[in-house]
Amino acid sequence: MEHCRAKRGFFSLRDCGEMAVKQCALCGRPVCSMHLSSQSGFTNCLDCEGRQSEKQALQPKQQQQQPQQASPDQPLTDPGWSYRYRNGYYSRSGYAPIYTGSHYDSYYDRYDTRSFDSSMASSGPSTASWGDDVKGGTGVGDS
Amino acid sequence: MTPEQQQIAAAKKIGVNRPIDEVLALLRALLDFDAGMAGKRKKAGCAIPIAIIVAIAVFIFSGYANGVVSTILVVAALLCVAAAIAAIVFFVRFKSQDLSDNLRTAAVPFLAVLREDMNPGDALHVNIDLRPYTVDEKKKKESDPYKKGAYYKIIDKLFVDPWFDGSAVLADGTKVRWNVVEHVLQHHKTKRTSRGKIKSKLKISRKTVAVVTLAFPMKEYAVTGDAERDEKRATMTLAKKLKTKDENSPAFGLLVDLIADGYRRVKASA
Repeated sequence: MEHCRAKRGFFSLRDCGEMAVKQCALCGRPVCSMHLSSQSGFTNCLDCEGRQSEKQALQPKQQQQQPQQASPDQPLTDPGWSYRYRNGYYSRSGYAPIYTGSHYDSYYDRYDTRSFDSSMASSGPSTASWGDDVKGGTGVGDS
Repeated sequence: MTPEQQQIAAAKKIGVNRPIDEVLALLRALLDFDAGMAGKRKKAGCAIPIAIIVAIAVFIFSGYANGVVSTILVVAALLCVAAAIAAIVFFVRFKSQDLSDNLRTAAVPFLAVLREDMNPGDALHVNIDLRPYTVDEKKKKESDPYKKGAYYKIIDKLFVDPWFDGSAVLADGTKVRWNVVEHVLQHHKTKRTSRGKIKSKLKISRKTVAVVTLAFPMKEYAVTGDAERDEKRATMTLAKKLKTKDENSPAFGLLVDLIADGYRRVKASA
């Protein structure tokens, strides 16, 4: 059984650490039950849901689906909220989070995640050099 | 709601030091309470004009009716007046229980973001003042009435509202402490129109000051730029202010930007 490949965190990203229960239908990554989106019927991961909602927001108004009325406690009740906000914030502000985990995943390359580099992909962060805004690597499987 | 939640809703002040998930559960109960009160307040607010209009109509009809019907209509009209008074009393009561929108627009989203960077069992210390900024305790200045242009009476009031502060240790070992103070300048202007009507306007100017202190563990992070350093941590304090004319506080965005700015100044240690 693989570990969940989703990353937790906002200002710095870290590995989820839970065991995966399913593969995301969009990105194919193994994810745990906490990182599956209930809005997609537990088929997509929360990261993919966040990216989809961003794509939808960029579409012309006619093509957009009717937005759901946001309830005041949405940040507390909807696990996808923080992932949508995270994805939107990184895109808007250009913020590149620091990665403190040990399992490289090319899925997050678009965030320019600091500390990701190809050497770390094989050896982990304790022995790798931590470059600033380093992109690259081909992506490796999880443990 | 639990007795503790009822007590917080009545005092409109939260001061807790407990695991982040427990804090968020508490805030969720308060949001539900506030939404319930807003619904009741809306119903009471709608009932006031309806009851008054019905009372007037029934009084008018009672004048055209005779005998028993007239008496019944007068009683019905009086009942409508009583209902209008009751609705006003309930409206005022529900209005007094209203919690500041800062909870919904700033505190809850900020803590939800912070939760992502915390381990679920880790404690969060937070103080939130949910009273409106207009309470007497927060009023710092009030000008004497003065004239300007068409307005024959302008009164400026300055409110200072330090409503949100707290601290937490994030999952990467970074200690974060924040503090938000709102400075709200309220202008109450009154003028007389050319038709002799008196019109009043209330405008606000808001200055939100957010201060964040981040103490990065030197073992994990190399800090570039100005920071106080000791053996274990590099500490930086960042502040930002934003002026708006909005009713809602921009504190959520300010706090997230400040912490992100702090993280931009560090690199992961080799």
